[in-house]
Amino acid sequence: MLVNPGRNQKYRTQTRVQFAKFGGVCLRGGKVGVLQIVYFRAMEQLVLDLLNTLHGGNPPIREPRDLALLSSKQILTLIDLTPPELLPLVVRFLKESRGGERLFEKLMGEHEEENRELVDKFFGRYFAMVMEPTSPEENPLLCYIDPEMFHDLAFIQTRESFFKRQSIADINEFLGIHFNLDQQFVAGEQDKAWNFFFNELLKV
Amino acid sequence: MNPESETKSATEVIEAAQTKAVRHWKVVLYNDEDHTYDYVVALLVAVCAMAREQAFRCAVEVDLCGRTVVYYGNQEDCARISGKINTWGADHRLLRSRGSMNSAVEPN
Repeated sequence: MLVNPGRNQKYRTQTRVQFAKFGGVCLRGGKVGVLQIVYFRAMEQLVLDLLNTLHGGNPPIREPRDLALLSSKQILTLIDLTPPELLPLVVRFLKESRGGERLFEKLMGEHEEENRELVDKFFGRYFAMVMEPTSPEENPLLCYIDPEMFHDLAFIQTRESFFKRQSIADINEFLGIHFNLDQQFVAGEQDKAWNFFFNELLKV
Repeated sequence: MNPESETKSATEVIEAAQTKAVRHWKVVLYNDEDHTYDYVVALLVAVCAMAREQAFRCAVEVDLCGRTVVYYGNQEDCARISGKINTWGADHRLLRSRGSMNSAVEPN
């Protein structure tokens, strides 16, 4: 699974990603694909050094797998000390450690009451870092269905479920902006609106 | 033995058996690299009626472990939930995402 790279239409032109300043290096926290892997490898040693500094170096963390060997308390404390911008990278490290279910149990504090505060704090901070801020005023269709993709009907078809889940007001606004919409669809007419949208694309 | 506690105990036994009967099946969600945390959270809130915080923990689990259990219930309900997950559609946040995540119904 991936961290949201940002709005697609902006993403493709501006490469809008989350940036964080750390040690004079500009980190790209949310970029996906090959770049993300190259970036992760390049940053690995830097992050390992940081984790060892935060952790005190005992036991030393030489590779992601060493992280999974720490106790629940140690992992949660280390995460708590980690700057928020680096949390996605540290979680990536944890993923690379292949600790699986056992590791997740540690992140859940082994379900011990004494770890609950650290557990809640970790999930709260990580949530804030990787989740897209909700802004109900934005029309998701205008944000995520780029008119440049209208020629690619196969791609547009993969967005059918997403389209039909939107409110009829957002659908009307989207269709009104991109097409000559002479009628307003009413609540519950998502299927009809989708058919209108797709038929308009077929005409082009 | 106190009759009241005996009755309560019997009730608890029946409830436990009923709970076990309706939780005989589970829906397992599998990880992939074509969907975002946002997608998983929105999906689980809508389909499994989870709170956002709970859904986010499931998202972290599926990311780290490769799978997570998102629903317990009888076989029919689990099949319905799994069907919704498997047809929820692509993640609109990623251009390369072209389909739903995968889930399966398994005996608990």
